[in-house]
Amino acid sequence: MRGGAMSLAMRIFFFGLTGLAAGAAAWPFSEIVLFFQAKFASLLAFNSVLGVSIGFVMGGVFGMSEGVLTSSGKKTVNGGLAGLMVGIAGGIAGFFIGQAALLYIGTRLFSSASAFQAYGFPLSRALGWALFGMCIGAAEGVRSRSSAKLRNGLVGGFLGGLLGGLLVEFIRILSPASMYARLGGFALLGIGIGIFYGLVENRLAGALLRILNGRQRGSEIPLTQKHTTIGSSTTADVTLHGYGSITGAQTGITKQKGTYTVTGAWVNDEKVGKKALRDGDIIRTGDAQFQFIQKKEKR
Amino acid sequence: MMKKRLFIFFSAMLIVFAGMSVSAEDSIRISQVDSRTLLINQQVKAYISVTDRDGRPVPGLSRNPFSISESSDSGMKGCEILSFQESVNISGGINILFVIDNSGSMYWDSSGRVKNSTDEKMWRITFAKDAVLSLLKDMKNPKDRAGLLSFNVKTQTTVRPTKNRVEVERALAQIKKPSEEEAYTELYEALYTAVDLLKTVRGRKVIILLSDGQNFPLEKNPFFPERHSMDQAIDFALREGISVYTLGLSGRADRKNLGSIARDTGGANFSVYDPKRLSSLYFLIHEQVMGEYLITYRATMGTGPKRLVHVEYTSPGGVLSTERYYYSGTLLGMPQERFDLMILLAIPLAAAVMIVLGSLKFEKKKGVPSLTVYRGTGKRRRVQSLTIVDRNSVTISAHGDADLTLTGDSGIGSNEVKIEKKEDGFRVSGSNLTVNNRQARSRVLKSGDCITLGSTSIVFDEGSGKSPGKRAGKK
Repeated sequence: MRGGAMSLAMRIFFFGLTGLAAGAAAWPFSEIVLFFQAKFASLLAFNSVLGVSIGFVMGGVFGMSEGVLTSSGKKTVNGGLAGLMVGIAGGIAGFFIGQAALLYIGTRLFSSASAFQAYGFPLSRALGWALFGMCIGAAEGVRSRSSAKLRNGLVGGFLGGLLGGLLVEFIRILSPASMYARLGGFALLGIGIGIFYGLVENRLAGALLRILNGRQRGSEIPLTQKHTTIGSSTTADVTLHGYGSITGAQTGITKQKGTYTVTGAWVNDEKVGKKALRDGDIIRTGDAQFQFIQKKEKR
Repeated sequence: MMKKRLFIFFSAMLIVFAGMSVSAEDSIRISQVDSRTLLINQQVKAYISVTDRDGRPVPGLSRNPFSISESSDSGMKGCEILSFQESVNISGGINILFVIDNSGSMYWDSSGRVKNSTDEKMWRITFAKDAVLSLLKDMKNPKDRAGLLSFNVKTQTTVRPTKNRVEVERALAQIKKPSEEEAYTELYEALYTAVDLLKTVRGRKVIILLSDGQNFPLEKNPFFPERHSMDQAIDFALREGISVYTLGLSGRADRKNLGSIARDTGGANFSVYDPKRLSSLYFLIHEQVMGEYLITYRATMGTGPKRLVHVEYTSPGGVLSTERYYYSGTLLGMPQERFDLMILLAIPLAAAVMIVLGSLKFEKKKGVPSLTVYRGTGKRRRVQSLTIVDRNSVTISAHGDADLTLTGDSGIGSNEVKIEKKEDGFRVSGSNLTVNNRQARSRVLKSGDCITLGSTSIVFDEGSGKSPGKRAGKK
């Protein structure tokens, strides 16, 4: 990590911060719903509204993260909107699957009522948070229609949701009446989902591009998608600004069976139409220069 | 069977201090509230015991005369009864834990006058054992479980609730007279231990606690390093949905506290002077439990962790009602009492975080010419930067006298790279030189060019934020 460049470690940190913002934004909504708990006609309605509102907010914020990361307004808006939608679905699914898990796992596993209250209940609900995180994490994959991002989001969201969910559930046992305990819980839930999303993205990306020059020098971009486009356009997967001679999205990197192929670029100072990349190759498009770094295949 | 019933009836008539209503009317009691599925499907199960003046359960009641209400944030609120079941404890079986006082006084003569009776048959404990034994033999439902616990200074002869009656019978026979040092009555600890023993068993759970004295604890009792009060034991039973029936034997029994334990946990308290009557009381308690009705109702949306449930039964003789608290648990904890608008500040704060994150371009401003060295991969990767602004030349090699010495990379060998500031820019030269994965003797570097030395990458940067415009082309 040097200067302002976005290394992979910083990406994870960035997603963690986004998660923190998502959790903090969701907290007031949960407080409002909780405040009016007695006004709800049924637990079903209460849970639905709670799930929808938390999902809506967290999904929206997480959806924006990719756009915010690349300073792309369009991606931020599109992602945010997709996140809202996916978040609503995730919120409902998470709450209800969590409830179902509670009924079928919790009551079977914990026969003592107090053990059930103390552990079974939080554990089953943490599973609900995990499913919720899974749906939230999927938002970016849905937006970019990338199955790899979807997978990253599902796995990362699940793990982060589970861990964050456990913290949310157990933190309120420590101090059941404090609203700040819930704030802490939601913040941890968001951070959990964000960090795990970043970690999984990092682990599952087979290769990355390191920008070698210009304003974004030092940034590392994991190649998580089947096809990654690079260009000055905000619709490109990797948006470059401040570089000369770059067209919209003429350069692309396609992954197929562990081999990455670049089209429309210079590779190692040689103009190529299409070329299979090897670890360490230098790619140039316009004035921007990258190094292609492929992780060793684990087989 | 008929004979036994008559016997029970007869015995019940003789109960002097029955813990229930002494009026000629029937009485009603909520013997257990099962709220485990409350936060899942909003349903609560209440076991209702309706007994006649003799303490016998009233059979054959229908759902109609019953109504249920619960405490909510705006007072009592009526609840919808979802189902009403009779004989549910026959189909589901019950779990009884017999808790027997085994203090010295239990070895007194049944009359209570002879303290060191040699006649074993006359001991109170003998009657208690016989009473439990006869009920055990009568519990024929294979789904029923029975357990045992005796206590004085400590708890002993512990049998976890089991379907194997013989095990309980054997343990019952093993209850032995305590020594002088054991002559304490840890009543509340015994109750707490009993709840702990029964809590993991599923289904309808009942403790029948027999004692002939007061709680008489040993100070600094090594068997109970952690102390529990009566209220704590009651609370524990309440949380675990266990009803405690208490039998106070002899005039020395702590009627008041045994009464509270029974009342607060949904059981009933019986006082008896003659140990010969114990058997009929054990049978009566069993009969009461078996005669319970199960009402499943839809709970209110109250917020507190503890709620009051109120059951009314309109009988031909008038309206009977009863109340009990139960632990309901909460979702995400308790709401705030007053809504604090400060909470809403979290939203603009979160937005601010996102705006700050968005405004960080993670970009380099214009800088000075520099070299960035990337060594190793993965966790062992190291990145190092070096500015070359105030130098005219930089040498890089594995040698100690180079400007930039690269150690630990065996692939470098004796190769050396030199970067010099010339009129046309920075020019790199060296033997066996590789720039952008191509062999070269000497070339002018442009921003982003990558010099490879062994397994080390050295990336040159010209320093300006913008790349030089016309540097596109092969060298």
